[in-house]
Amino acid sequence: MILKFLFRRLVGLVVVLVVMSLIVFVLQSIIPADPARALAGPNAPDAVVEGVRERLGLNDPLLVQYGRYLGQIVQGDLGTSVRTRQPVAADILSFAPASLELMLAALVIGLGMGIGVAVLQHLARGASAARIALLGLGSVPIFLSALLLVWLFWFQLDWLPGSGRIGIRRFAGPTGFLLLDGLVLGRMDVVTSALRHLVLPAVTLAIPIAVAVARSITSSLETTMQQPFIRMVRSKGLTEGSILWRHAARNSAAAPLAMVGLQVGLLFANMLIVERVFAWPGLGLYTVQAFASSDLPAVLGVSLVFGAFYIAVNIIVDLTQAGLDPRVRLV
Amino acid sequence: MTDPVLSVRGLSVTLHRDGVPNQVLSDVSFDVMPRGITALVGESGSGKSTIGLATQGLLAPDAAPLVTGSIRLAGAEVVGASAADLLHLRQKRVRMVPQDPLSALNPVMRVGRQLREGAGPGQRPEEWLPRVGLPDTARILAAWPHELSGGQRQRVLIAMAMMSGAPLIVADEPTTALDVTVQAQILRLLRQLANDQGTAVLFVTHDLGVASELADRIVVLYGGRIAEHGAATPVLTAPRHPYSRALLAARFDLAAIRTRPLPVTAGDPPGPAALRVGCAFAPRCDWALDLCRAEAPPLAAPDDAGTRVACHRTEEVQSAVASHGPDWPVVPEQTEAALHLTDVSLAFGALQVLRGITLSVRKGESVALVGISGSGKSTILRVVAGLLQPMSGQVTVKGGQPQMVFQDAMSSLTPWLTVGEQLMERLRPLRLPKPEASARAQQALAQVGLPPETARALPRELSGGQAQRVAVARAIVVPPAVLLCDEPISAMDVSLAAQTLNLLGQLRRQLGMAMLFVTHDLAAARIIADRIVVLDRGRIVEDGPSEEVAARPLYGQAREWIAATPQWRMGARP
Amino acid sequence: MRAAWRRMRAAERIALVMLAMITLVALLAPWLTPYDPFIRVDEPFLPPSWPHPFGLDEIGRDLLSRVILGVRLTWLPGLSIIVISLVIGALVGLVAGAMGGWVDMVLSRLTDLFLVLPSTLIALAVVAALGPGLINTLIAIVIFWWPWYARITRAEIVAQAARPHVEAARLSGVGGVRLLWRYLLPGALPTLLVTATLDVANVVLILSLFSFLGLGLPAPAPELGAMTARTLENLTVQWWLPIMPAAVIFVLCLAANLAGDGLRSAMRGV
Repeated sequence: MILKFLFRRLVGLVVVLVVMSLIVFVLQSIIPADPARALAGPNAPDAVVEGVRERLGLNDPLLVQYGRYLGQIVQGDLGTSVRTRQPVAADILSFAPASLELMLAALVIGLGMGIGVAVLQHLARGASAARIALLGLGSVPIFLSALLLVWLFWFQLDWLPGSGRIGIRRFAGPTGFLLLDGLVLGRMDVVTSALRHLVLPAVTLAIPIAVAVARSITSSLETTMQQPFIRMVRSKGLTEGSILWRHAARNSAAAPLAMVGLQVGLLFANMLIVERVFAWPGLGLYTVQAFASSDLPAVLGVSLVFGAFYIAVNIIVDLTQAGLDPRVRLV
Repeated sequence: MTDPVLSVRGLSVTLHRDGVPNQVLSDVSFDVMPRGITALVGESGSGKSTIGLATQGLLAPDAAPLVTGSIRLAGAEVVGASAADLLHLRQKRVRMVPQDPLSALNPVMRVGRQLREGAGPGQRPEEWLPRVGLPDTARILAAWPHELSGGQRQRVLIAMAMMSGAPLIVADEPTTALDVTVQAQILRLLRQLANDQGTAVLFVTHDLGVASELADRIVVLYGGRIAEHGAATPVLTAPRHPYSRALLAARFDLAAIRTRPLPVTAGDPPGPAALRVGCAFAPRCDWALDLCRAEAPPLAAPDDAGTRVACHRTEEVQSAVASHGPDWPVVPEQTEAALHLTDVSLAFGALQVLRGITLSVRKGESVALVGISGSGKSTILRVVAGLLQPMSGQVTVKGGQPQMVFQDAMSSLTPWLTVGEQLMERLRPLRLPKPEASARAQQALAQVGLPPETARALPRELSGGQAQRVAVARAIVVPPAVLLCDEPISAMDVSLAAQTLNLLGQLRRQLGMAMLFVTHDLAAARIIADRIVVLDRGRIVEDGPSEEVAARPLYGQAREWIAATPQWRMGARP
Repeated sequence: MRAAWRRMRAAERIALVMLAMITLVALLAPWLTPYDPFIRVDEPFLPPSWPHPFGLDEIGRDLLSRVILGVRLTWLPGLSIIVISLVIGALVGLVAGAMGGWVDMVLSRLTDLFLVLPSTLIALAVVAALGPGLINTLIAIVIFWWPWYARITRAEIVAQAARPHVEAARLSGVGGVRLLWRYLLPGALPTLLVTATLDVANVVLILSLFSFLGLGLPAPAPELGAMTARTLENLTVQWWLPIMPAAVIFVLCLAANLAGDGLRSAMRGV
């Protein structure tokens, strides 16, 4: 059954990717800028531009062009960046580890804080002060929280660095994940420096995740605690702690899990801002720079990769939900 | 004399809703002796469930419960006990069997683990499951709750309660959510186990019939006070409080007289205690005096039979002879059919719900469709109403769109439209001028015994009984040739159910409607219908005059119900 | 409605009143600015003071006046996005839920498709491709916003349609548009209203994200996100330049979030 489910979801994933590639392709085709002219240079004679156009296949029918584009994507060719003059796929590969590191850290911190806050709120019997504090945190635009954290912990207290990924020059590891590389090579100075640089951007990104997760847990926990079976286990003389962990937690997990899946989508957008503010050399910064120089192939390539990643995350969320609740049938 | 397992003294409970206090229990005192089964009987809102919850210290904290008096559980005080003491009491001294077995098990934990959790020392589920009638031990233990039927889940829950070794079990309407045949089995099981284990049971119910099968002592509650309290036999054979008498009179079983309206207590259950002066039952009581309306009667000292009654006029009530109204008018029998089904079949996917149903109902005739859940009885109604299309066969309905009274009246009313607006919806095709339409709506309300102001009310302002009447009023504001009733009394207290049966019986005769009445209750079917049709797995297995079918059904399933329908078996109980 | 108002806590009532006031400020912004937001009124970088509570910006323009105009430029598009998405989503959901059959299947699949895409990211890509601008931003966000309302509406309509009160209405002879309008849609309305109110905050955040990334209106327009983005470097010395606009975004979102949350808990009982 699991295999069948995975197969169907993979088919769905392919469909969604095809749709996304179609959107990307249409966008590329309707932009006013002429890629042939851009490649040939502004002062190239028309004949040269025409030659480039012919070479790029821009004179073929749109459907043929789309087919070719799909073929390229399948081979991992996302086009060439106008700004860096490198293949977009190669750019993405070189910037991805920094972003993945940041994302993972943000998710772990966000989930931890979210669960912690939800449990505290549950113990405080849903105190309205906590509720309003969560609403307040959820209303802070990400650049404001980034600025405030930088201002406080870097400028004022100088506890943590607020720019870049590492304070050591000329370090290059085999994987590009600095924490991992530092551990593998036994360079504790690298690990410490990378960790210190990671804290502020990761916490900034974690705040919205923590708020969303905490609110989602609180509301599904509230619903679960009103279920008759909770009264039943309470009548068996279980402590509130066992009721919460053994009975309520698993029954309240579905909605927060789905919320994590959704938050990964928002995380991409927030990473653009956070990487810009913290000068974090990852995909977000790459994309922001691509915006600034109208580097469409780069923007679209990153979107496609992120899109695939997002959908994969949500398949994992679905699987986890099904694993937690025997009533969920995977279809 | 042994000490009681449960001793309730002067118990008063006030619950809050949106900050408004509501006293749900006042000065309640009674004992439950070891091995005894005490039934708490009352309508919804009488406070019976609150007693059960208070005994376990489980009143919802959201309602900010204010509890005074004393509840002693095997010698330990529950009122004002610390959280730790309450945990201990719940582990060792009292357990519950809940109302709805379907929602009382954790859906994501296997049954075996739930059974072991909180079990007394040395108690093994492998030994207990066969004793509650679940011999397939290994399968049940490994099952998820949703893989078990309602009856199986209730058996699991009974085993769970028994495994604690607690001296007291609170069973709050443990059978209302189950089919009638399963109900009887569960009651028998509970009684037998309580007897074997020496467990005392506090049995909460609205059904005197059920109480009579099980209990050795009965506490009748009305409006949060004890109306009558004593040994089962005297309370059930010679009730002394007008409310107990009314409850007893309104009961209907397979021997009830069906040629005249059932004797009922008019009116609705009492409102909030704060607005009340005097006896809560006085507004509905035939014997009420000014004294009753001014001053609540205290619970008197036990009489010769040991019964205690709270009534100013016990003597008069005692000597009164039950009176009854006139018989139903005789309606001449018609031969023309109002409704005809020929070989109707229907399937939902692979599930065959109706298999070749052929059924004819004459004008003005009342037919009851009975069967257990899944027999297809409600599906027939929906096909006749046109809400479902049959896959094959023919449905002929004379005299326009049939109307329907739904099982849950409240949910059959649109929450954001007033009663008047909903009644007028049926008058729209007639294109009456507005004053005339609203006069028709008022008239329909009057026919079901509701005041004209009801037209301006929103459904949430109505009580359950009023909502039921409104639903009936909507059905008859333009009298249909065929009235369909889908288990309209299944969720009702006795007095409300009897009121509804009377109302429907009266209206169908008055308006000449044919009626198709779906129920799983053979006693109700016999009273409301001229003919009973028994269904099993989508087929008609029996069709005959009510008296005959109810007296000696040919079909095995129907015989089982008769055995299962609560009868008056006082004294016959072991 | 009146019952819902009574059930709300003070903070949430204040939030609802604030929503109304913010909308009023947004509508009347051009007449409320104390100074012309586009011309220099004094020395650049004057810190907040009585005549200029939010201080002056890098070329000596009154920051308060610019922020007031910025509220208009954020709030009105935000509300429009919600309203347009709500109308489209409710219509699609209503049609899908009420018609059923293949229409429902096609529309549901379509909304599902939109919902599994990483919407904000694609919206960003769309705007980047089409070129920055208010209309493009509006379209890009609406495209990915309506499916949420369509899904909610459809689910509520389907749930309502199976309820006895709708069946009773059908037996009473109510059908077609009257059934939709009087019996089905009102059932979906509370959920839609609560979601939409909470979403105002989300849309405002996303709009500010767009303008922070330079995908909003071009330079002289005082968009709140863009004002912060352009003055990031001033944080240490002239803190009010990046902080004030960002703080105002916070206030807008907080009001919407509080109001939505209040509506939700107040409507739970209805």
